[in-house]
Amino acid sequence: MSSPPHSSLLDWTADSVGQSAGDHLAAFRSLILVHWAVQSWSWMIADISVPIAVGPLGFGVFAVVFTVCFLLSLTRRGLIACRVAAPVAFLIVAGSFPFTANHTYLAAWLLFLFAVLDIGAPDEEGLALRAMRWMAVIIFFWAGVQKFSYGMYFRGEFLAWMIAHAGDRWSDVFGWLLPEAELDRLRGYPRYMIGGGPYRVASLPFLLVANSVWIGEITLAAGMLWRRTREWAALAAIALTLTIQLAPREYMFALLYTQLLLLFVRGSWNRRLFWPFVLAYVYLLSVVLGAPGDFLLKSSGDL
Amino acid sequence: MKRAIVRAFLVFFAAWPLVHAGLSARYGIDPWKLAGFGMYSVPGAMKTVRVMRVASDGNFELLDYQRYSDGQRAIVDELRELRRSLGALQPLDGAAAALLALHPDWEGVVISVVTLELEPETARLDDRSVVETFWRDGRDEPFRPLAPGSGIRR
Repeated sequence: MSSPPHSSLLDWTADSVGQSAGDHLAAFRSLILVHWAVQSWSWMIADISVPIAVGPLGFGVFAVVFTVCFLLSLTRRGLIACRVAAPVAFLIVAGSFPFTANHTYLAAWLLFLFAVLDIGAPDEEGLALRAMRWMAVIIFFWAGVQKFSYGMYFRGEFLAWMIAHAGDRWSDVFGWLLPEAELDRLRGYPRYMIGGGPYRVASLPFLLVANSVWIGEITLAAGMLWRRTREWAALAAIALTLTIQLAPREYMFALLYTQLLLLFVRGSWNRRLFWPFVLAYVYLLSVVLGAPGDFLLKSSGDL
Repeated sequence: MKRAIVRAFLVFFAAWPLVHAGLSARYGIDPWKLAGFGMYSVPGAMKTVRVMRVASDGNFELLDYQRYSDGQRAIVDELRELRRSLGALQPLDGAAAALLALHPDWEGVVISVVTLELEPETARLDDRSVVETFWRDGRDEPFRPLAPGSGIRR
């Protein structure tokens, strides 16, 4: 297969000529709708961190709309499903502003693209793929740049703070990199004491891990733009995302972003993993309903 | 047409985090919110709102959060959450007006917003305060306690 010339920046994330991503995108489109459905059901059930003042009944209506749209997307009516669902998603975003979670914005924008672009049309299919890949690159790039610019990773400050004050889950994921004495020191600082600290550590393994986060994000964003490294960069980005998200238990974001990154990997992995992804979403929802697996919930008890 | 829409969207999507970072530096908006994708860059915003009522005779009292009425608590909690997300882009005058409307006997109200931040240079927690006074008659002057040096009690 030949490689098309890069006629514009948008084409930097294009595939080789002749490759089709239609079924890959169709699966991702349905997964976005599952994401919205599960999130809405969880808001209705848990009544925690509810982002918009419509109450459980309102979220029940939203959840039904997204669920019906998901089922519709499994037929040939995926475009219509997204055109129905997208305004509801933007209503939630607008209603929850300025408290909207970043992954809610992301899910809304992806739905917007799926509502605008008909992935059944070959030219729009390619456009959707390129645009969504760019979104993944942009998010990773800026996430890394902001960690660099705030300067809270160079000597482990951010992770040290989170280990000290954000609960055991951060200690579980990153605390083992620190000597016991350092852990005790960090945990000994009162959370809101002015002058408390320093939240800084000298452990080399900890500093290597902390700095590899922002370096990895920037490097992998660049790697996803170069066709030769694209797939490996995306897989490494998935591993990095899942590792980081173990600590805050942001599994809704982790699933969404993993699916987005899988768009870089040949083999229609969103289609192959479609039902496992759906099951993962359904299981997360069942945990909100009381199924075993509290460790999958955020500290707020929400998804 | 659709290509133009997608391009415009991606330009916005790529540029917004830069604008967001500028707003965060200038106004203190939360890096974790508003789609700037700066989550996990810094600890989440830590804000406290304190309210002091000023009587017509000049007496003042710093209100104890634990003893707030439901109305006071709703106003202050909403202000705190809005300041956490929007920083200084969320003005204090709306909350002040609501508090003065709730308490016709108050001559004025002093609102302070205390922000705790992890300082990158020292890696220690530091605080910054914004204090504004709002008078029922609308005059624009800061509150000055009658007793010199007593200041605002924390």
